[in-house]
Amino acid sequence: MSEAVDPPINALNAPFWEGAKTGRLVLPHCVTTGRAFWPPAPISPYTTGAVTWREVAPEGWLRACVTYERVFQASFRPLVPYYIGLVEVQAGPRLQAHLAGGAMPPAIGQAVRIAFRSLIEGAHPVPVILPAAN
Amino acid sequence: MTVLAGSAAVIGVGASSFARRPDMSVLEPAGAALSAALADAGLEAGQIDGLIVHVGSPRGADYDTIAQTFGLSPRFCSQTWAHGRFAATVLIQAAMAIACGMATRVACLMAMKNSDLGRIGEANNPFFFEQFRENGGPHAEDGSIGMASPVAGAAMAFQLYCQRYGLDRELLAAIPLTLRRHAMLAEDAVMRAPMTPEDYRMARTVIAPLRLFDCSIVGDGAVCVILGGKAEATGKNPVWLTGMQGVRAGRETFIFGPVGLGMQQQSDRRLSLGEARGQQVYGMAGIMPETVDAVGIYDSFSPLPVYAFEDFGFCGAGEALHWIQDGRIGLGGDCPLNTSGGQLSHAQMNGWGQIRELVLQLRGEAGPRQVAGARHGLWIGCGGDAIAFERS
Repeated sequence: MSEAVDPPINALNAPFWEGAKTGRLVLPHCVTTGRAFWPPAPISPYTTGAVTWREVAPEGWLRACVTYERVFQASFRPLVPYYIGLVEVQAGPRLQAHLAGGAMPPAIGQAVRIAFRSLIEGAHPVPVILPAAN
Repeated sequence: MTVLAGSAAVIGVGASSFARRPDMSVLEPAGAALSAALADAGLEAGQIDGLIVHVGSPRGADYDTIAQTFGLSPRFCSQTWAHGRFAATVLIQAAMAIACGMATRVACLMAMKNSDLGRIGEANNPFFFEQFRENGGPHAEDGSIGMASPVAGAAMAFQLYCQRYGLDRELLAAIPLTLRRHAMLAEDAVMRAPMTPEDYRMARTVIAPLRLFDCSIVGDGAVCVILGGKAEATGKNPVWLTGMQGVRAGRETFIFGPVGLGMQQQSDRRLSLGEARGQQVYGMAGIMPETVDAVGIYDSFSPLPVYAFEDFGFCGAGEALHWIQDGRIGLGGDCPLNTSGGQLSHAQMNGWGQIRELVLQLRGEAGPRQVAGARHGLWIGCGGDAIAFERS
């Protein structure tokens, strides 16, 4: 039996994961200030006011990156070594995302974009880091 | 300053051995630590009227099991979330219970057994599903993208820190190498083999930039600290809790990084030196970093003391990797850190090993590790929590 790898999806965070299925980055926004935020919340972390979900540009820059050289999750054994990066998207929030191994990772500070891929067959698409589209 | 400062003292401390014994019951080290602390305090079990348990089942034992099994009859009980970060929270709650008249002698007990479990992050560990916790794991884990294990968040914060200040990660070696030398002087330490700079550098990478000796091995064992109020602290060498501050939380905090590092949704605004030196614990205890004779810092990963030295004003933001060099944090240095070896080399007891060591230091009972004339000890956790200890 393979280990669980799918994210916890529920009515609160469903817009993000629905967007992921069609490759769109959809984030919660504070209605009062218009600012995007992360992680999902039913009330704004800035004002405790109302929240709406909107698609944002997936472009951003890489703030930090670590390299998995040890297997913790048996499901991802074939992917090791791989990277996990912290990406600050143009809308402001930062997302952690998977970055496939094999090549050198992008340099810190480099422009990248968030896309969504299944890391193993049948798994839900999750945020991955790709080079910025030219 | 408050009713809490100086209202409770450590009146007994005890520990089990820390040998990894997958076949034992966790009640064995729990009982060993409790009985050692009672003997140290000169108390009978029936005189304990408060019990606060750290960790609990399944890695440990819950408060009700502890009381039933060991014949305690406390009138005030509590227990924390089963994470490492709550040592100060437990002691502060015990001090509050005493100051508020809820109990007079509170046994604070951390017992756990990890040797029969997979490493944290692996499926055969009770924490596996924490990395699928809604809105992220407690150390930034996200199992759905392959970001398993607390090591990942610690590695990412350290990468960010070195990047931000343009620092050579090899400077970090001072932490594990110093703590191993301290552990070699502690008979009950788990890791006592000498470690050379080469051993540190050549050890395998776990999650880059962190290597094997940057990560503690969660241990087997127990530590018990008994607090009492002024009326109870009549025995030998009470060690007073003179300053305290609780675990912090919020968007500016990250459990394995300093305030304002830029991890997760943190801002990039680090504490100024003035803010760091104005931490509540100092004002309550009437001390400053320079007053401290021995420091205990949560070191499940070797970068954590680096951040604590900065967030608590021993040096400025971005300066600690240089500040810790040249023997400063060793025995004989200005600021001896984790003098029994800390979680990295003595035993990963969620910080309780360092707290016990501070008590021994302030009583003058630390043997070959004794800091001459130690009067002030400071505990700093990874959650921004802290306790100042002082001998009478």
